[in-house]
Order: sequence, then C-alpha cells, then structure tokens
Amino acid sequence: MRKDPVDVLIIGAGASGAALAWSLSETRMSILCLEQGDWPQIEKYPNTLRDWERHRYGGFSSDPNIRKWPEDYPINNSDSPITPVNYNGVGGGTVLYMAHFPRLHPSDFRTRTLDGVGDDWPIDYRTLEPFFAINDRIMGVSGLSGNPAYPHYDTAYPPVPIGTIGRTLAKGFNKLGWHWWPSDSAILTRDQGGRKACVNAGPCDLGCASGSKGSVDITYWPRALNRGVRLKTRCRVSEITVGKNGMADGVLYFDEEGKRQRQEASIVVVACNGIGTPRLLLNSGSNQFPDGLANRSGLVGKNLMFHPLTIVTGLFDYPMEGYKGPRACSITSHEFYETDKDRDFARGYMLTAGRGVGPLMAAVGGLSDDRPIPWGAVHRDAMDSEYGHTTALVVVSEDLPREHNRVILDPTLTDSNGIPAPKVIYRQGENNKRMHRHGLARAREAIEAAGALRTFTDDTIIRQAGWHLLGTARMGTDPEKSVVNSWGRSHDVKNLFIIDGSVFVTAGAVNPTSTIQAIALYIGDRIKRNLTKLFD
Amino acid sequence: MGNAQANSWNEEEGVLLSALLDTIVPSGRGGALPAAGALGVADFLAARVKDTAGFGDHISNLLESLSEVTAEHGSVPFHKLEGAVREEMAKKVEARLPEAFKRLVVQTYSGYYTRPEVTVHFGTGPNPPHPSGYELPPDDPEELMSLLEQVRVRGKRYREC
Ligand SMILES: Cc1cc2nc3c(=O)[nH]c(=O)nc-3n(C[C@H](O)[C@H](O)[C@H](O)COP(=O)(O)OP(=O)(O)OC[C@H]3O[C@@H](n4cnc5c(N)ncnc54)[C@H](O)[C@@H]3O)c2cc1C
Ligand code: SF4
Repeated sequence: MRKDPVDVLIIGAGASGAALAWSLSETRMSILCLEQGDWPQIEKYPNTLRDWERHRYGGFSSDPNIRKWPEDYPINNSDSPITPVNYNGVGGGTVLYMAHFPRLHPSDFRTRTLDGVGDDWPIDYRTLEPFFAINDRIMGVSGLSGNPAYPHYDTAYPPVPIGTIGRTLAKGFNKLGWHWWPSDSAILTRDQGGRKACVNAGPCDLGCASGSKGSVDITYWPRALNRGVRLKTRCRVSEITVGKNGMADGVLYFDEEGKRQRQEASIVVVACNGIGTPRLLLNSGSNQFPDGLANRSGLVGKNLMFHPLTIVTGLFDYPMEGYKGPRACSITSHEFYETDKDRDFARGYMLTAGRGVGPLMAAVGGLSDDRPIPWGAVHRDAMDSEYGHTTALVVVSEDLPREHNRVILDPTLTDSNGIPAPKVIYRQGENNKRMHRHGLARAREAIEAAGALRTFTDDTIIRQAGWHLLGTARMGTDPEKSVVNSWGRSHDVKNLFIIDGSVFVTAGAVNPTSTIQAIALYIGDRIKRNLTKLFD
Repeated sequence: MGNAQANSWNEEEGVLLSALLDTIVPSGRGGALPAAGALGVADFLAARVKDTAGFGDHISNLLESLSEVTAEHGSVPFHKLEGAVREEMAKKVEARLPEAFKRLVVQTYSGYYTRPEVTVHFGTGPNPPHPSGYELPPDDPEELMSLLEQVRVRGKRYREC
C-alpha cells in the first residue's frame, strides 16, 4: 500500500482533469493525477492504416462495449436508446472527439428564469468568458469572430474551410433567411508550436495522427507535466475514502499490475466524466455516506443528459467531396437555438453540417454498422448514385434534466478489476421528441432550399451518439437540490471537487467540451483564490 | 484460395462463398470495379473468422443453407447459376438466416471497401487519410464574407441575460 500524501489528487486525465491540472500547476501544491488508461500511441491510430475505416467498428470504436480494451469499463446500455461512448486514457474523450467546439449560450445558464424549464446555474456565461478565452488559446481554436449567436469574442486561427458542403448549405440557409456561421473547431488551421495545421483528412474520431486536433494529451498535459504535475497511468480508482472528520482523505486504486493501492490526498478532484464520476461516487459509499459519497441530495447519477441527435441527408447532383475536411466541422446554424413561445417545445437545437464519410461508412450505414445499404444487383447503383453526392444536417437537441434519466451501479456487471459497472437508464423526453420533429422538418427545408434532389430522413435518435455525458452531479446553491456548489466543491465533503461534464445543470444544444473545460479552469481559479479558506 | 482461407473452409465451400460474395457485391463501372469474390474478400473473411467469435459458424450455416436452397431449385450448382437466379437463392438464405446474412454483408463491405483497388474509385484514393490528408482549398474570404453578409445584417441571435 503506497501512501505518499499529495496536496491535490485528480482522478481522470481527460478534458477537464487536464485543464485543472494545468491551472493548479502554477501553485506550489503537489499534484498527482491517476488515470485508468494509457498515453495514446499516435502511431497506432488507425487512420494511417489502409483499412482505417473498419477499425471504427472494432478495436478503435468509441463504444467501450465494442472496443473492450483492458482499461475500458463496460456500460450496461440495455435500458437506453442512446449508448454512452468515451475514450479511457490520457486525453479522455478528446482523443476521439470531433473537435467541434462551440460554447454554451448565455441563455443556457438561465433556462428556469427565461423559459420556465430546467434550472438556473449558479454561474453565468460572463463568469466563464475569460476561461473560454484561455481554453481556446491552449486548445488551439479556429473560427470566425463575430458570430451573432454569441456575445463577441475573438478566435485565434482562421476557420476550417467550410468546403463545398458548407457553401451549399449556407446558400440554403440564406434563402430562408436563417442564421449560420463557420464552426468553431479545436483544430489548428496554421502550424503552431510543434503542432501541424490540419491536413483535412476527415476521420478525427479515430485520433488525429498529425496532432492538429486539440486533444488534451498534446495541449494541456505537456504544459502541466512541465510545471511539475505527476500523472500515473493504468491506475483505476475504485473508491474515494473518507476520514472520521467527514473529509475525503484519499483513494483506493488498482495499479497496472492489478494490485490494490492507497493514495492519500488533502484535496480530491473527480474528473471521470458524466458516467465515470457518478459511478465512482456511488461506489464510494461508507457508514457516513451510505448512499454514495457526496450524495446526501440523492442526486448523484440523476439528471443524465445527452444531446439526442437525428440526421437529414440530402442528395445533390454535384460532388460534395465530403470525405475532405474534419467531419464535424464546417458550418452550424443556431436559428432555432432559443425558445420561441409559438413552438410546441421549450428551448431548442442546433443544425450542424456533417461532411460526408468514407466508402465503408457509407456502405455499412453510418456510425454503427448494422444498417448496411442494399446488396446484390442494386448495390452498385445505391453506392454510386449517393456516395460523394450527399450532405447532412444533424439536429443536435437540448435534453432537459429529468431525474428519471440516470446512472446507477449495475448489480452484476463489473470491470476487469471487479468494480461495479455503470448502468444507464434513459428515456427521450416529450419536449425533446417535439423538438426533433421540428428540427427534422427544418433541416429538410434547409437542404431542399440548398438544391437537394432528394432528402432522406432518419427519424430515430442515433444510438451511437452518446458523446456528451452531462448532469449527473449538478451544481447549485441548494444542497438539497444539487451535488456541488458554484465552484465544483461538494456540498457534503468540503475537500472533494467535481469538475467534469457531470456538473452541468442544463445541457444546452451544443457540443459541451469548450464549456466543460472553461468550468474546470474557473474552478481552478476559485481554488487558487480561496486557498486559505478552501474548506470553510 | 488464399492462405488465410486455407483452414477455414474446404475448396468446395471456398467456391460457393466466393460466388456468394460476387452476388452480394457484383462488379461495376464496366468492370473497373471487381466483384467482391473475385477481389478475394474471402481471405478477409477468413481472418475475421479467426478474430470474431461466432462468425465462422455464421458462414458455415449460410453456406449450408445456400446449398440446400440451390438443391431445392435444381441440379445446377450455385456458382454456375445466372446472376439473377443466384440473387434469388441468396435472398432465400437471407430470409432464413437474416442476422447471419447481415453480418456477412457488413463484413463483405468491410473487406471490399477497404481495398485500395476499390477506394481509389471513391475519392479517398488508395492511401490511408493520414499523413497526407486531402487538398481542401481555403475559403475565398470575399465569398465567405458575402455569403455571411445577410446573417450579420440580421444581427444578434442570442438573449442577453
Ligand atoms: C467519438 C466522440 C466524438 C466527440 N465529439 C465531440 C465534439 O466534436 N465536440 C465536443 O465538444 N465534444 C465531443 N465529444 C465529447 C468530449 O470528448 C467530452 O465532452 C469530453 O471529453 C468530456 O470531458 P470530461 O473531462 O468530462 O471527461 P473525459 O474526457 O471523458 O475524461 C474522463 C477520464 O477519466 C478517466 N477515468 C474514468 N474513471 C476512472 C477511474 N475510476 N479511475 C481513473 N481514471 C478514470 C477516463 O479514463 C478518462 O480518461 C466527443 C466524444 C467522443 C467519444
Ligand atoms: S481532419 Fe484534421 S483534425 Fe481531423 S484528424 Fe485529420 S488532420 Fe486531424
């Protein structure tokens, strides 16, 4: 049993854990991060292999239940139409993410006051603004300043080329008089500090072999390690332990040889994402915390939010060359983001252009390989008439918090160390269903206005799109109705912080990582400012 | 028969499988695109039999079923039947064993659409996307600004709060 107490112990080396490690590294505190996975091996990313596309459905899937690496934990998804996806290693989800990098809107922090749904956050957009800016600089964010969907901010690098797809859809949006803008992307469009500009290869979800995508293994971590932070890989935390005084005093973990170890710490920070964090807290029950650590509110694991997605595809009579360019980053429309009282739902959605896909993904039916296009004599026509000539609009919808949607510990399923696995229980809400009906109709309208010959609508929510894992340890001022306070500190355990997507109060309708990291930096700032009265 | 196939199925089964693959993905574009069996996708499947639990049984069951439906149809072996009739036979097998057939179709596409001889016809070229990537010219700033003009003119789209 190793002890060597540290000042700060961070669990999880993903998007938020890395940002906080860097933020705190300017203090004199000793900081250690324990991560269950390894450093990514860039030379093993499949997009340098001839058969790169097929790895998306096997050993390099973003679904841990398919990938089944030793560092992965299984997720029981049998009671959810959406399956959570992730990457368990240094970098966390950012190793596989598509780097679409919008921020939440100001209204996302005030949905109760403005629209009578969800809850207000204890912080607001203006509070996070300086941290968005720091994060954009370190992650390397490209985009075009002046997007009228946000208060003004500057972007450092020119936008990723919007390409034929972007120009085509932009004309459709313009015909309808709707908002659109080039995407903010955590992707370099110019070489910077040893990182290369994007080569427009497309499959960012298989890891970026050229280092252009801002994943935290190449952005925050080298900076944090340079400043003395220690990071231990292949260490899976099974439990956060609590002393007699009710404060967290360290963790128990399994090291790379599967041996149980103990690490003591003065401050424990959980950054395991919206599924991994409630799993760990629920597994850290004790006499003092019989329902799981930091769970006196009963809300740990509850209010799980995804961004349910549907897709409309348009067929055009000219080539879209959609395989060129980062797949999720071209243009995006926030025309229907804000609540409109004339609609039959509250809040809204984003429409995002999806570039095309490679030939295999087109043939097997998309993100999961269970809807292949027709075989036989018609196969050639099906492939030749559509491949390369389509573009899609993805309806990314706001999911309202509902206690029914939750993460619990599975009674029987475990990971390779015998730690109980999470089970996800989720239903799509009525508001969200209505929103999707509206979104699909609008997406079709936009694609038709852009000149599509035909549109195809996929009106079921996409199962493999559980990318955004939010809300399962929400922040708030009232300890009865939230798990952490406005700066991530547990209401129940004053030296326990939660900093990942779990703390979201509402989900917004944009990809969350920019906001997750801004929150982690904000929490880091608050910790630094309050060092002398941190546990008051 | 390729090496990988060698221990997965006998010669007769190999011929049958290859003909089935040709039926699933026939040749196209005036012969520029080979059919899946002719391209040797069976070798790829043999490798999957080794690393994918249950896939070998799926293939055996499918081939057995294919022999049965072909025998019910007449005495001409499957690989000697005319294309449309082959497809009819394969459809019968699909109806009997839908899940196994779908797995075969998906794996056939996987073997086929990752071959450089094929991908070269689908824009992505014969090489993997990294390290070279693809030529995607930067947007013409004037065109972009002019496209965005009306969005700018319309003004703020967020709620101040
Ligand atoms: C395929 C894919 C595409 C995506 N695309 C986008 C996108 O375009 N834009 C966007 O904004 N977001 C995207 N996301 C989501 C994005 O990756 C996440 O929002 C982000 O990584 C979440 O950050 P986090 O800090 O909450 O958790 P993560 O980044 O998931 O980090 C959690 C870390 O904790 C570790 N961990 C968990 N449990 C333990 C334990 N018990 N002990 C030790 N370590 C542990 C994990 O191994 C992991 O490294 C995508 C995700 C995926 C998978
Ligand atoms: S498209 Fe660009 S960012 Fe994405 S993986 Fe390729 S080089 Fe990296």
